[in-house]
Amino acid sequence: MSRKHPQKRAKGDERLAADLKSNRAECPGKPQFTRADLTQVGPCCYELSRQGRPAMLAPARIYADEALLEAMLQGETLNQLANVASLPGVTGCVYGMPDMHTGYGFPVGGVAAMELPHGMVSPGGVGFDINCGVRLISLPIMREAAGSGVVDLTHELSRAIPSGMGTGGGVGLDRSDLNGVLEGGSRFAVERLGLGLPQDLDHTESGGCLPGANAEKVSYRACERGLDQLGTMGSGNHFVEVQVVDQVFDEAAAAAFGLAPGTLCVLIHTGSRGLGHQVCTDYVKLMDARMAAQGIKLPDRQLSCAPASSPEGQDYLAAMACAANYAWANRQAIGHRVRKAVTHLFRKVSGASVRVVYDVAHNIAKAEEHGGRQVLVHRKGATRAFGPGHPEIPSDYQAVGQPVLIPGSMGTCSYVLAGVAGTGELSWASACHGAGRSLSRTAAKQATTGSDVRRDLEAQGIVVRGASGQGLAEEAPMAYKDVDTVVGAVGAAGLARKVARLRPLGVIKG
Amino acid sequence: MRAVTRSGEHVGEWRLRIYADTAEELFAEAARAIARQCGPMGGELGPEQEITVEARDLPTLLVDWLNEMLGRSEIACAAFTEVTVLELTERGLRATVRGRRVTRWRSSMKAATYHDVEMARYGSRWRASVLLDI
Repeated sequence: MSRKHPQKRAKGDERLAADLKSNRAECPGKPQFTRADLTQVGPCCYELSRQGRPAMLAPARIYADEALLEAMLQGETLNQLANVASLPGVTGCVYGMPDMHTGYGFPVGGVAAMELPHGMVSPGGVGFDINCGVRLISLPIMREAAGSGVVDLTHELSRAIPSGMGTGGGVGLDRSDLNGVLEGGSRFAVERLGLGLPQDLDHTESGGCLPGANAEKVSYRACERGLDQLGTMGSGNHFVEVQVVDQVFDEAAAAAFGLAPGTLCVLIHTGSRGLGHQVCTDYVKLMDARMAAQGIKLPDRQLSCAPASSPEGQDYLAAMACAANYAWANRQAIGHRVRKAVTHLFRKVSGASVRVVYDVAHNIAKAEEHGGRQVLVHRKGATRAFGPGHPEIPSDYQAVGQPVLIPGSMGTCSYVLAGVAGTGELSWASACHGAGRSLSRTAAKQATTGSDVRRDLEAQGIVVRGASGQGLAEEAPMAYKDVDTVVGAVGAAGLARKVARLRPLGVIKG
Repeated sequence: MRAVTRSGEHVGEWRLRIYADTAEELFAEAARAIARQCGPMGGELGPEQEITVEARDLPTLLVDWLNEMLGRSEIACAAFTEVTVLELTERGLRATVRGRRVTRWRSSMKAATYHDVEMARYGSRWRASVLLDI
C-alpha cells in the first residue's frame, strides 16, 4: 500500500493517474466559484468557467434560474460538480439539475457520462441508496367520490406498509428468494413471489430488472441487511403519499398516463434499503483502497472509482444491478400492498384497475446509447427523461414520452413531466429528481417543530401518519427549495415538459 | 474531560464531530453517537461481541468502524451503547460492544463517508469529523 511501490495499474488507471496529476496541486484551498465564473449559454442554462481549473476534463453546465443558481453558489455544490468533470473518461458535459445541492463526491442532482468500456464507474456517483426512486400509482377513484375514504386509505396504508426494522411486516425472504430478487428484480417479485401484476412491469424503468446482476458480487453482510427489508419504506425523506391530480398542463399526455383531473394517486418514494447502502459501502471501500494502493489521489475520496472494464468496475456494476433490482422489487412489493389496501377499502375497485403509471430510478448508473455511442450515465439525484419514440419506454407512452416523476417536499405538490426529444445532447436525457434541500436538518429543527409542521399540514387538509416529531421537522417544506421553481427551470431549459401537478392529501412517513 | 459529539452543518447529510482525551475514547464515543440515533430501546443488554476492523490510517479506520457498527446495528435491530476499545493502532482496532434491541427503528443513517474525514490530535484533545449519509 506504499505510494513508493504502487501496484501495477490496469488499463484506464494509467490515464486516471495522469489526468489527476494537476488535480493534486489544485485540491487544497480550491477557491469557491462565484457568479462571475458562470456564463449563461441558454434558457436557464449556465456553464462553469474552467479557467484556472486544468483538472476539469469536461465542461460543466447547470440548469437553474437566477435564484436557484444563487443558492448553488453557497457551499460546495459547484466545486463538487467541477470535481465530477475531472473524472477520467468523462465525456460530453457534466450537468447539474435545478434541484442540485451539496452532497459528497458527486453533488446531489449531478449527471455525468463516462466513455465505455474504459471510463470510470464511481459508486459515489450513484450514492448509498442505489435506485432510490419513485413509483406513481393511479386509482380508479375520483377525489369527490372518495370522501372520507382518503383518510381511511392513508390510515390503512400506514398500517400495511412498514417503515423498516423493529416494526415487522416486510416480505420475509429466504436466501434463495433473495438471490432471485437480486437477479430478477420486479419480474421475480411478480412471477415468483406473487407481488403484483405482470402489467406493472411494462410501466417500470428497465422492466424492473437491470441486466448483468450477479448475486455473487453482493457481500454476505449486504444480503443479511436485505433479508427482512423487502416491502419496507425506511425513514429519512422516504414516504408514501395519497395525492390528487390537481392540475393538468398537457391533456394528451395526462390522458395517456391515466391522470385525469381529480383522480386519486399514490406516490411511493423509497430505494434499496440497507442492502443497497452496504453494496455502496463495500465498493467505495474497495475502490478507495485500490486507488490508494496505486498512489492515485482524487479531489474527494468519495469519488473513488475504477475503470468500468476493470474487475473491480465490473464487480461493482454487477452488485449495483442487484441492489437496483432489489429497489424495484421493494417498490413492487409496496405497490402490491397499496393495491390490496385500495381494493379492501373500495370494494368495487378491481386490482387491475389500480394502475402503475410509472416507476423511475433517480440514483443509478446505466449503460445507454446517446448519439450512436455507448456511455455509462451516472445519475445521482436525477431522473432519466427519454423523449417520445425512445425504444426503452412503454409502447403506450411512445407518442408522449417517458413519465418523469418529481416528488415535492412533504405537503407541497409533486409533478409528472414527460421526456422530450433531443435531450440526450442537453442533459444525457435527464431531469431533476425533486425539490432539493435548501436547509440542513439541524437548521430545519431550529426553524420549526414537528408539532408546528403537523398542524400546518392538517390545516391544509393533509393527513399525516407514522412520522416522529423530529422527522417532521427535518423534512419540513421550508427545508426544501420551491418545487414549482425547480420544475419551471426544467421546462424553461427544455429538459422535460409539464404534464400534471399532484396535490398531497395524506402523508405516511417512516 | 468527557468525550462529546457535536453536529456540524451540511445541507443534505449529518456532519458528526467528536472530541475526546484519547483516540480510543473517540472511537467509542463515535459508535455511541450512532447508537443514540437508532431509536427507543427495550429489554436486557445483549451478549458481548468482539469486533476487529483494519484500515490504512486512522481517519479511514474511523469511517470503516462506523460502517461496521451501522451494519451490525441494522441487522441486529440493536443499539450498541456499551463500547470498549481494547486495542487501537494506526491501522487496526479491536473492541467489544453490547447493545439493546431497538423497539422502533428511527435511524435514517445509511453510511459513514470518506468525504473530508479528519481525525487528529490538537493539544491535549483528539478531534474527528465524519460525514454520514442520511
